[in-house]
Amino acid sequence: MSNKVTKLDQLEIGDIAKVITIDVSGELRRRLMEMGLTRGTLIEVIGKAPLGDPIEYKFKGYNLSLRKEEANKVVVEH
Amino acid sequence: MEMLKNTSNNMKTSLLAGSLIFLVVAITEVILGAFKIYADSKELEEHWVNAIPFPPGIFTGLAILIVSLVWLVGYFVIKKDQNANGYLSVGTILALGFILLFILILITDIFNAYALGLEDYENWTVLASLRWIIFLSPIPMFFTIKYRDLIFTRKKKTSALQS
Amino acid sequence: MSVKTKKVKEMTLDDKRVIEVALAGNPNTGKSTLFNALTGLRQKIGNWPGVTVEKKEGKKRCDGFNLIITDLPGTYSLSAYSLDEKIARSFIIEGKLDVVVQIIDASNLERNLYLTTMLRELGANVVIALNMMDLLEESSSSIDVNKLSKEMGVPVVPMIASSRIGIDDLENTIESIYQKEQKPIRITYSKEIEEVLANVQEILMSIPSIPSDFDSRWLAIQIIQNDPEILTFLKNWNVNKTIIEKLLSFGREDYEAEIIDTKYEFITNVTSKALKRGEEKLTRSDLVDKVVTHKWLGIPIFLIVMWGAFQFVFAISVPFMELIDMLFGWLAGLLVDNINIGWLGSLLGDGIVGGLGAVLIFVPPIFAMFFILSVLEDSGYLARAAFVMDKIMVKFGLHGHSFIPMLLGFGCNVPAIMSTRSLKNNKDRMITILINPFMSCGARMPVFILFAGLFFGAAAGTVIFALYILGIVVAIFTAILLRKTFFKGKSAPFIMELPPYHTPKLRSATVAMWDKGKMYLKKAGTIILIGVMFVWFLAAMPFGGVEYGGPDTWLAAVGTFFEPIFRPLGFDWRIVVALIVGFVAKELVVGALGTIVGGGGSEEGIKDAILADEGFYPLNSLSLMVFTLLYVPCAAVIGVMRKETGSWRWTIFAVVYSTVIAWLFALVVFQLGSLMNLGL
Ligand SMILES: Nc1nc2c(ncn2[C@@H]2O[C@H](COP(=O)(O)OP(=O)(O)O)[C@@H](O)[C@H]2O)c(=O)[nH]1
Ligand SMILES: [Mg+2]
Repeated sequence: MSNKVTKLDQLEIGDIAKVITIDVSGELRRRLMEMGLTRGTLIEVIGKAPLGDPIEYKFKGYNLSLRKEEANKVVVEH
Repeated sequence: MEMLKNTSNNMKTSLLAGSLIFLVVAITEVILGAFKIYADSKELEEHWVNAIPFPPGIFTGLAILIVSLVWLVGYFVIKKDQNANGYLSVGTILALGFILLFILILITDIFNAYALGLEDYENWTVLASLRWIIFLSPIPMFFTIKYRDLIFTRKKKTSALQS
Repeated sequence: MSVKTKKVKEMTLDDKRVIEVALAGNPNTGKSTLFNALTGLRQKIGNWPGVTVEKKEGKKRCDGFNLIITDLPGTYSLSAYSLDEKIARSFIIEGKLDVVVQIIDASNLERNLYLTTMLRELGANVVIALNMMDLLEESSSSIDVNKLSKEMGVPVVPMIASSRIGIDDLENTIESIYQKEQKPIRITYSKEIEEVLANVQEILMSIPSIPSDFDSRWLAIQIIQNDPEILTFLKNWNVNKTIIEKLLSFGREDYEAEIIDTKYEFITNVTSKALKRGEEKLTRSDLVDKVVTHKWLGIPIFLIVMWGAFQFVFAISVPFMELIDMLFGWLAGLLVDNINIGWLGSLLGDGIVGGLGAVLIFVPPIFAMFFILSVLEDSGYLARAAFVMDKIMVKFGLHGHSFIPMLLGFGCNVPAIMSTRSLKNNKDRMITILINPFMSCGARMPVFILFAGLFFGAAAGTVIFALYILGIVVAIFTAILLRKTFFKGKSAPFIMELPPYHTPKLRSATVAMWDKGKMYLKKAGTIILIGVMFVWFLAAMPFGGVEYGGPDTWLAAVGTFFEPIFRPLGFDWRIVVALIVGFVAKELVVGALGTIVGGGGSEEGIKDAILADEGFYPLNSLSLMVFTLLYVPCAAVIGVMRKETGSWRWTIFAVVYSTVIAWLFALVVFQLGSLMNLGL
């Protein structure tokens, strides 16, 4: 990890990053956080759908898919 | 370390060999199947393709082709020194799934032909349905036996809960 | 909380104590498996009041006590923003429950414990059923059950629900704690939040009308997070307006994020003590996912899996369909030949038995379809299919989850429309429901087979394939249209868990097949049977002298009345009659044609009669097939659309829209064909 701040959708397959914050408010932020994307969570990019979107991530021991649009709201340190 | 290297070399050879054999079967079926569709659409009863003792199937050929490609990609993944267990598993499970399907089709075909005596089965022979199972079985079976622990979850007795 | 009210219910069920239990848990944790293992067949399936979310209730006799078990919707949280969460939460608050069993996927402990913290904050009496211990062990991780129990302050029962291991333990644990009061869990938030909470709680304590069931700390936590439902609660308790305003003024947007963060910190602290993770970084599922979602291989794999599924459905159903056909044909003949009262033999033979046969013949493929879909779902692949298809679906104004109902539609639109319940966003769901009838269901197939086979010879397969494609194209076109007009906005976020792959269980696939297939049997037994008898009646009226199904019957009169509308499509009154009958059910169309053109009821007879008839020729049979493809599939679909959309307006819209579209497409086919003079 080179401590570069970026958005979750910018990562490549195999990258591991640390969640800093969710850059959106309201319902979307709550849902992302309740699924476990909280401060300090380590998250790995597992794969992308054949058409590049959505993207599969792994964190807290399980796998979750997010569209680029939502992943773009997650600020991470990579 | 040496042992790891060996396993992966082993798997590399297996994947390539399996893939190429399936590729030959698949391409043969697809080409023959294409001729068959052509002959049927022009109603050419005398066409040479109809002399083959079983009707070739273009879709089945394509399905086998995809299994072959999965293994082939797996081969290249190992060449890049990455983990190809997923490719081996997915290809093998797909192939096993198709074998199960063809066994089921064989059983229903036999039932339809002999027990029900359906019209569509006048020119049908057991070989027509059986051949898929014969073509497809050896390699996936071999993979299943050789790499069982990679493909399937081991059935361990969960001792902690039994008491 | 209500769960604390100590009561011993000594009613019903062999005078034993009755313990009321709710099953809560994240989706895919084995809730249904546990529910079935506990209740067996003693369950009642209905809906939660006023909504179309399924509610299951069951009973279980145990040693010395009885359980009444309610299955709550699977949720990740209880924040009452989604319908499922609202239902689960209010049932826990108001349900007078003794115990809430939360089923947890042991291989996914952290996220599952989030729901536990919410249940505990709410004050429910919780038992954790720690499921999927086999998968945990396989991943070489381990959980210290005693530590987990101590840290969370609730009993923990390890189990493997799919092998029925741990069920007895669970029952005993429920019995041992149902009268005990658990202290609500106390997670300490930041200093600022704790101060605000104290202030809010102080105000709440001074309101006498708040029922003692409600934990004031829980209420305070909800209030400062702007929980929308609390306002309703406060109003219901007749709390004074200025006090409500004062309370609500404590709410702040940021508190919510902070509270969630703190809860997860609490959980991480618990798991750091109770959970030992295996070294394995990428699991078997991750490795498989890399292949299944591979850039080049993903879509081909998806296509051959679907192809294999359809092959399975056809292979297994053909012999059963033939058997049903033979049986009912034989029975109908027997009745007609042996009952001397002419009309009675005809009613029983041609009408009821013949009609029932025409319906039951679709049972095998529909059951097979549900079976294979359930296998795919259990294995975990269906979630990946939605993942692979999402981008395409979004382009069409749909959602990754729309794909499964569309696929099911090829079997039967009734359960397909019911399966749209997996779409949580109302707009996505409405669009998915409204386009579903364009997916050509199995009942339309016999019409296609009959006419394509008769008039298009070797090209029959191609014609039928093209019809399916036309249906899909119209569905997509309609989806885009609806998204641009009535249901503007983006499709809901695709925040979906991709569960680990499992080996599918024969048992659960069989149960799912039966559960869903039953709906079709019900339709067959009611609507279609009535339709069959109605057609028979019209075809035999007026009594005396008229030839059954002939030009002097009431049936002919109805057809003749509507004929002018359909003449531009190339249909005469007989086809019109068949299509009107098709409104009741598509299964009736071929039979109705048989009644009218004659042919003695057998498939071969109908074929000969149609070939010999000048009213049928390739071009109008093509437009007939197009019309059959596109207009309302059957009365049952209308019913289920009304139920699932909750709106007559949209149901009528769907009926009118599809009929107009059908008419237009059939018109284009017929008129273009005539113009081009293809000699059809
Ligand atoms: N290995 C394993 N699989 C389980 C266990 N319990 C349930 N399953 C499987 O997990 C999948 C999801 O279960 P289901 O009951 O449908 O979950 P629900 O979504 O919570 O209702 C099914 O394929 C079950 O067969 C278990 O203890 N061990
Ligand atoms: Mg379930």
